[in-house]
Amino acid sequence: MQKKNLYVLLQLGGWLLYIILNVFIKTLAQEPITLDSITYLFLVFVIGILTTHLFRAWIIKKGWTLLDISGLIPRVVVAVLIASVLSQGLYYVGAQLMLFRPASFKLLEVSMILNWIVLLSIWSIIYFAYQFFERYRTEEIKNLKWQASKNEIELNKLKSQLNPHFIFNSMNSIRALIDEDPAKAKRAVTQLANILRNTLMMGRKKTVLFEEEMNIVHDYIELEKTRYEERLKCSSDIAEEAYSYQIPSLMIQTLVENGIKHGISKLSNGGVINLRAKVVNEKLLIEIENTGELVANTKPETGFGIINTTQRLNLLYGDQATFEIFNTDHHTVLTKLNLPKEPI
Amino acid sequence: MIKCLIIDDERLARQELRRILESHKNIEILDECASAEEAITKIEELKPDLIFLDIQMPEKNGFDVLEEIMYTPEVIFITAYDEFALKAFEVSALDYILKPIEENRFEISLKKVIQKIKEKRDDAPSQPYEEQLGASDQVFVKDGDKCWFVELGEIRLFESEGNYVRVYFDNNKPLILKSLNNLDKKLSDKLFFRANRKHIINLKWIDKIETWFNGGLLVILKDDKKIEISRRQAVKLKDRMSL
Repeated sequence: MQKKNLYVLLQLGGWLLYIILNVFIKTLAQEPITLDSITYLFLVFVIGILTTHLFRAWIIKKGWTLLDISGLIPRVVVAVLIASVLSQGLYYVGAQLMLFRPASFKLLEVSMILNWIVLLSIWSIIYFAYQFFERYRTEEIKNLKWQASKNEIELNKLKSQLNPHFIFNSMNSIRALIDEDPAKAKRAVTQLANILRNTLMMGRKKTVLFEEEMNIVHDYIELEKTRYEERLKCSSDIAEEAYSYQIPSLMIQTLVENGIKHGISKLSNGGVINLRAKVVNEKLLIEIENTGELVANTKPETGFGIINTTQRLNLLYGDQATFEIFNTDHHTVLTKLNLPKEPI
Repeated sequence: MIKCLIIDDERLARQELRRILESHKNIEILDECASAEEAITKIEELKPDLIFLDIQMPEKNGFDVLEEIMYTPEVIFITAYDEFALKAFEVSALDYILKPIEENRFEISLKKVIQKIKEKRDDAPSQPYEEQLGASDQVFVKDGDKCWFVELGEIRLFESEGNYVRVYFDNNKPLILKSLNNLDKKLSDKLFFRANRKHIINLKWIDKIETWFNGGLLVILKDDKKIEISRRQAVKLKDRMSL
C-alpha cells in the first residue's frame, strides 16, 4: 500500500514537474502562454502518465525487474522506442480532438518523437534505479535474516553438544579411576579429550566421514560405560560401505547421548544401546535403539537434541534426509536417520 | 564417631567418596546405596548421622529420597551439574558439593556438618537413640522450587489437607506428602499433641487455652491460629499439661 502511494505520488509529481518546467522555460523565453500551449501541455501530462503506467504494467507482467542489466537494456530500449511512437500518435490524435482542428505538426514529427524518447528514457532510468535499490535492500535483509537463523542453529548446536552433566560426571569417574585403575583412567582422559576437541571444532566442518564420527561415538560410549559400568551395554552392526559416507558432525553422538541420558540413565538396572548402519538405495540408514520410553510431553530442554538435529538436517539436506524417533514397545526407543550421500 | 551413608548410583563416584573419607578417622561409613529405594530403607534402618546424597539418580532423585523418609539425617548433597537443583539451594542455602569433588571445599562442608551434629548431641545427650523424633530432629520440606530443613521444634502445626499435610513454620506453610497418622506415630509425645483428626500441634507454641463447647478446648497458638480440641483429646491434653 505504501509502495503504491509512492508510485502515484512520483508519477503525478514527476509529470507535473515537467509541465511546470516547460511553462517556466516558455516564460523565460517570453513566449506567450496561449490556450493552445496549455492544451498541449495537459495532453503531454495525461499521455505521459498513461503510457508509462501501461509500460509499468508490462514490466511487472513480464517480470523485468528481476532481469540483470544486460538483459534489461535491449528490452527497455525497444520498449521506449515503441512507447514513444505510440505516445506521439496519441498526442497527435488527442490534439485534434481537443482543439477541434488539424494539429500544427505532423504525425511523425522526428523532433517530437525524440522528445518522447528522452522523457520515457528518463522515466525508465528512475523507475529501474529505484527497483534495483529496493531489490538490493530486500536481499540484504534476507541475507541478514538467514545469517541470524544460521547463528541460532550454531548456538543450539553448541548448547546441545556440551552437556555439562556428562563432562563433570566423567571427570568424577576418572578421579576415582586414578586410584583404582590408572591405565583405564589414562584411556578415559584421552577419550574425554577427543570428545571435547570434536565439540569445539564442529562449527568449522559441516560434515565428517562416518568413520570419524563412529570413532567419537565409540569414545563416548566407552566413557559412559566407565560411569555406568555393567548398567550400560552396547552393540553395533555397521555395514562396510557405510564408512565412506559423509554425515553431519556429532549427530550420531548427540542421538546416542540422548538415548543414554533419557533412557538408560533413568533406569536402575540400566539398559542396552544398539547401533546399526547400512546403505539402502544409495542412502545411509542409521538406526539407534535404546532401552527406555519416549515421553510425549518432554520439557523444552530435553527436546533440544531432537529440535537441533531436525534443524541441522534441514539446513544441510533440505527434504532429502529423514529423521524419526519413536517407541517400538514400552521399553525400547528407536531413532532412525536416513541421509543422502551429499549435502545439497 | 559419626555414622554416615553414601548414596550414589555410580560405583566409581561412591568409591571416590570412600577414598576421600578414608583419612577421617571419626567418620564411619555404615553402607553404600546404589539407588534411591535402597537409600530410603537403609536410612530408616541404620539411622545415620550424615548422608552423602547424589541428586541425579535413576527413577527417584535425591530430593525424592528426603521427601519419603521421616528420620532426616544431616545431608551433604553431591551433584555434577544441575541448574534447577542448585537454584533450590540458593533459596534455602543448603550445603552441596560439586563433582568432581574438590577436597578443600569438601573439608569445609564436612567440618560444618560435623560441628552441627556435635552441637545437637550436646543439646540432647540423654536421648540419642530415641525412636520418636524430638525438637532438634529435622524434616526435609520441599515446596515447588524451594526446600528447607526444618527443626521439629520450629514447627507450630501440622494440618491435614487431603493426601498432604501442611506444615506451619516461620512464615511458610508448604505441603508435604505424608499422612498425619504416620507423623503422629513418629513425632515425640513430649513435644507434639494430636488435637483432632486434622491437626497435630506443637505444645511449646501454645499461647492460650480456653474452654469450649461440650467440654472441649480451644487452643490458641502463638501465631493466633485457633485449634479446636475434642472432649476426648481435651482430657489427654489436660493430663499432659499438668505434668
